[in-house]
Amino acid sequence: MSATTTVPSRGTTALEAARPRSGVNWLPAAYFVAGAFIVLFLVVPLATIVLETLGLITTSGDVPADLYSYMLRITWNSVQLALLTTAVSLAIAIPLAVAIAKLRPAFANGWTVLLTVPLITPPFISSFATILLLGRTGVLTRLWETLGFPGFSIYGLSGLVITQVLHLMPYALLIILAGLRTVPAHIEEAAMSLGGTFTGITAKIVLPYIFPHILMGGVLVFLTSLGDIGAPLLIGGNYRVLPVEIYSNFISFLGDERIPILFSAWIVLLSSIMLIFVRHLLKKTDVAHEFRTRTYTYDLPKLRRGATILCAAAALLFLLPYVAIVISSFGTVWATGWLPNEFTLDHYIRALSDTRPIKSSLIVMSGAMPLTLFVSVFLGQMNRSVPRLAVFDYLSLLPFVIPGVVIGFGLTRAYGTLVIGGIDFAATALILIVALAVRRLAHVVRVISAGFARVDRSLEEAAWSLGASESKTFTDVVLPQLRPTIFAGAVIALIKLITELGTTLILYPPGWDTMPVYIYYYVSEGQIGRGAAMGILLIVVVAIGTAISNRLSGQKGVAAGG
Amino acid sequence: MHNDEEVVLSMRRNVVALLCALTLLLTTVSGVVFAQASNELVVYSTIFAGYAEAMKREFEARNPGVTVHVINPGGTEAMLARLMAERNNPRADVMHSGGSTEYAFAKAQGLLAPVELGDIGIPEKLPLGDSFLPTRDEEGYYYSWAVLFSGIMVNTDRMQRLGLPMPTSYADLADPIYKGHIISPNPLRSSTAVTNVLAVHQAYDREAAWELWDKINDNIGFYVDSTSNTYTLVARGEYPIAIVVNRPVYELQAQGWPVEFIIPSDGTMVQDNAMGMVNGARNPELAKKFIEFILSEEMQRIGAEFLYSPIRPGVLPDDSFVSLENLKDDIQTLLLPDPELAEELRPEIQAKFESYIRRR
Amino acid sequence: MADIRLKQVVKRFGEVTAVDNLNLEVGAGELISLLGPSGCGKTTVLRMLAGFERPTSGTLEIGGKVINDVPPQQREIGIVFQDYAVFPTMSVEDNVAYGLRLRRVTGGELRRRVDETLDLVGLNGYQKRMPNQLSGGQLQRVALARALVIRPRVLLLDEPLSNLDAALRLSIRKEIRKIQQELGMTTVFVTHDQEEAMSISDRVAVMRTAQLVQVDTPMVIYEQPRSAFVANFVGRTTLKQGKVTAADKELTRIDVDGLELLAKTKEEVPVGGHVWVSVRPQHVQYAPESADAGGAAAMNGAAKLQGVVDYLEPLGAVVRGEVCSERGGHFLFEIADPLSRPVPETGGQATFVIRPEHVVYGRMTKADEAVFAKEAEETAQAS
Repeated sequence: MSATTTVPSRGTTALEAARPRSGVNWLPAAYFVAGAFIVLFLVVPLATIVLETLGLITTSGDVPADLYSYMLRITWNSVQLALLTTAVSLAIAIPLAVAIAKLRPAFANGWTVLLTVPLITPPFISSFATILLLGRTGVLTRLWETLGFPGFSIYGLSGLVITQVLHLMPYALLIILAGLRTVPAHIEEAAMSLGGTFTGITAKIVLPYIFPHILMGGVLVFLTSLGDIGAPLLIGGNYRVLPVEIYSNFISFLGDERIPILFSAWIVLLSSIMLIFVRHLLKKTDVAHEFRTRTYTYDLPKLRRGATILCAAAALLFLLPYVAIVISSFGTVWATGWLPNEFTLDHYIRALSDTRPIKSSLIVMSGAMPLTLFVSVFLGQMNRSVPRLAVFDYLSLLPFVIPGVVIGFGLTRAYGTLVIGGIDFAATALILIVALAVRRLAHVVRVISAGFARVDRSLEEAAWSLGASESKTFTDVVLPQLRPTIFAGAVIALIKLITELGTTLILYPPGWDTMPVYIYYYVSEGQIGRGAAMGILLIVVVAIGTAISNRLSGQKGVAAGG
Repeated sequence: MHNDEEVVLSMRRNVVALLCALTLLLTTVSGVVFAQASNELVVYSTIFAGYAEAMKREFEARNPGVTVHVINPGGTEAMLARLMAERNNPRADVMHSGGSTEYAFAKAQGLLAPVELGDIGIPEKLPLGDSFLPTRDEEGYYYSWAVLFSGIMVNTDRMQRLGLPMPTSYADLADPIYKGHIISPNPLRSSTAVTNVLAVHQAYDREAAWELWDKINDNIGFYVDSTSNTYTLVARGEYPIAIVVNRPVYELQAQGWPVEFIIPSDGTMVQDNAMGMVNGARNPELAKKFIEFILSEEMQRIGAEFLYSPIRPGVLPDDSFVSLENLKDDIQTLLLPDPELAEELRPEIQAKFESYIRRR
Repeated sequence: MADIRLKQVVKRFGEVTAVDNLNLEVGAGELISLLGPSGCGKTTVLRMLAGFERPTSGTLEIGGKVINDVPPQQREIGIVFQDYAVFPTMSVEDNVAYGLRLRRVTGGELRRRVDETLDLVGLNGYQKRMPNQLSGGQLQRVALARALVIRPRVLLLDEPLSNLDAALRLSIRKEIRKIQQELGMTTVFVTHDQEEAMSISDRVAVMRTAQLVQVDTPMVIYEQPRSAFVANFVGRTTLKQGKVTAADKELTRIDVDGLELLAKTKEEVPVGGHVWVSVRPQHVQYAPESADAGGAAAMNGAAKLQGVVDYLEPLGAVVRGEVCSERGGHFLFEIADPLSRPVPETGGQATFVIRPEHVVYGRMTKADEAVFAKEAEETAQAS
């Protein structure tokens, strides 16, 4: 310390202790916008549905009893499908996760990346892969029959389960893997010192430890399956589920107009109940793990080999459908040989020259992504600093549990006839942008909340004590810490927005069919090659977007201090 | 010393502001982009992709500067639903594809506006079998542009493997031997399916018709929401039999699939594919031009390439496969569309098939 | 004139009362420590002063003005946190300059003040470093500089040294004290470490379960604890329960488990009254010369304690130990400068004397009883 301190002590100078001029606090305005967004585009539509249902039930009086029993039967279909998908997904994901995290298989990272490819594809794309491989004339079916086994129809519950598991198992896998990384090494070390074996320890100590994560993975798969519309439309056959019923009756003139209203309200009710459960679970599994916990891995060569084989087999199994899609995108008719009759670039040429869907998807996504990010960030900040408004946090999770079809339907009911300045709101892409932003909000909120949890509160308090207003503190202190999370959120938003189908099907104005709608249309007409080509293009767009985002977030790296 | 931080701060602020501005810009642009220009034509059509693309391409080529949006609402009934919903502020100019009975219904609902085409070389009535097929609505509310016939599609390969006898009539389909092997498009969505229902009703009396349908329904594997997919499913052999119309079967046959179209001996219904201008269309001039174009010789010939039986005489040589002259020779019992019956049966069809589907 | 005044401040979190009717005045330029075990409410008091919590009732004043409704941004306080809270994305000088920039200080003046303050905390030359390049002690100094450079009215420190290792703790606390005195800054220092509090404070405010128990200078706290808790919490002591057998204006006689102790009368307690008694180990003096002198009675008023030495800890500068007597029980003792003094042997009989001026006692209150109960529980659990 220098001997010549010239800082005068208190009481000698007059001027320096000036009050900080911290500027206008714009945070409340941001909160208002975020909150208004949720109220206008989530609460109002859902409330509209519920009110219409109440009106229906009380006034019309002639809602036939068999409609209710029909509804319950369809609900059971949906639930049964979801349960099966969840069970199978977990049955595959858990051993796979354990193998990858604990047994040190060769190329562990590689397997993980491969196994998560399905996550960046539109969910229903696996359905036509299923058709290609397991349909009556599918490659695998023919193989199966050549070996002498009886054929079976893939249209219906079995096809649905396969399709959904293909797409959803990776979700569960990632969550369980993340959970396994929170198990501190010393727990297993202690168990080993007491004489435990790998299987014993895993079953009795590790898995129970990560039970919330397993549960969370299961819940995610369950909910996604419930809200899925693409696969049931394409491959469901006679097996009718709630979202399909709503959609079919909604768009059809001869459909029962009451069904979309009633079924949607029913789903809203069920979802609200499930939401309580889901929120509780989220709290348990999203606890920020700041410290890199050292985790334990086993050094067992035989099991290591087994793990490698397991991973390879799983990767093969889960990627085969996508390989089939790629092949079919380059082929003409693929129904009689092991490969398509002819190879052609025609599908791609046609798909690329149909710029409309690509343009629509990109525009809608560019509008919806900043919107989603904005609302998520400010909802998260609002949740931290204004505890009284915690209900919004709750509400923002609703889209998680409500199928896109219902959200779309609600928006139509609420705003279908809205005209602003001579322009039909529902005729512009605005409604689609808003609808998609709302629908995918929950996923982004989840990621951003995890980021907020890692923000150091005392940094904010330090800034306040130095005189910074809340909004200045937000930009100077909170935002920099949140940056990596925002990029992660942007990637999730990108993937989820550009692959959305349910809401878009109901809402898209003429000329705004997006890439998923295009794919669905062609596949449902039986033109799998064309749909596949567009599907591959979609995956390419997602990959590019992800790469850009990663590049942007990595460039100005946040200093690792603090 | 300050510069770095201030620069970073202001960059950050700029990025945020930029993003906000971009969002606003994009969303307003999208709004403006849609405000329909006078050189845009919106066509609602349930036609399959190939023809839709062809119509768009050919019309745009002959009308430079014009953009055609062909939108498929997902089935004829869906199309009607949409038009009903939009009646006060219609977004479409032209309604295209679907049977004339549907168009009669649309006209009655006030969804269509009349178009005066004058003499375009297509007679108002075409001779077909013992009677005449009207090619247009008397007041010009709708025009037919192609002729199809209802009937049964089979996958010969699959039928052989399953050892099933070929059905020859609608009545044959009631045979329990076919249980689970028949599919049909969803009559609540698709006019193709409705055409077949009406065919049975015109071939038999009311009670007998519903009895027959009850039995057929028992044999049905599932009702397919997408009409086009019904054909694909049979072509791929997922199911051996479907109740459909003829044109797509011919197309698949030409592509090499093991499929065949069977004209039911108890009656085949003519489905005349129609089109009309939407009431309140934003671009009536362009709509009229479009309708004319579809009926023009060039487009009718292109339609024939897609194996549509053209409504315009003289487009195809008489012995050509899909020409009306050729086809009608194979038909034993020809049923012409009866709009009044269709109108009467509408609610019954809805109720019946709703209950069929729900009880599955 | 008091610079900080807390008047009847209460803070409740739902059912829990964190601060119960606290009254405290801090003089200008004074460094006062809030000392107490974790959960006693000291941090809550600090956070209320900073403005991060609002009191449920009562008033807080700084410089004579009530600040209850003043937001933290405008309170002109400097605060140093336990985990430093240095902004990770800004360099050292940007961290320190943050508050100045908010006050529109720029250019040469800004640089001068930042450099000065960094010099003050011994971080001259560290301007351009990033936080991830600094050690814990350096980070803490950055935090200090950042708080000081804005010339706050009041400096608040929330357990600033807890995250540092022992040697660093000593040196930095000395520095903090030095700087504080040089600047004459009114300072509130929260800690659970009594040695820390004692070493640097002008006064110490001891807190326990939401209440202020005693506020005095360190030496007074040590020599004249006013409750069993303070006696036990600050410094080592032997704490016992006793009964008053006789009392007059000069001396009070207390029976402690059979041992008769004489204490200088501090507080009037009637005969038969229960009291707590505290004797510091260094005041349990080894007196082998008194071994044979008359009976259990005091010599010169001093009580005689005879017993077996349970254990000895030769620590170099002192020898600590515990003696167990039939009358009186266990007593801690401490012998300074052992090389030049007689030292008993472990396991051997030894005689100690306790002088009346070294016996601290007080009327037993509920709070005091709780202290004994807790001790008993802990001993029971240990055995």
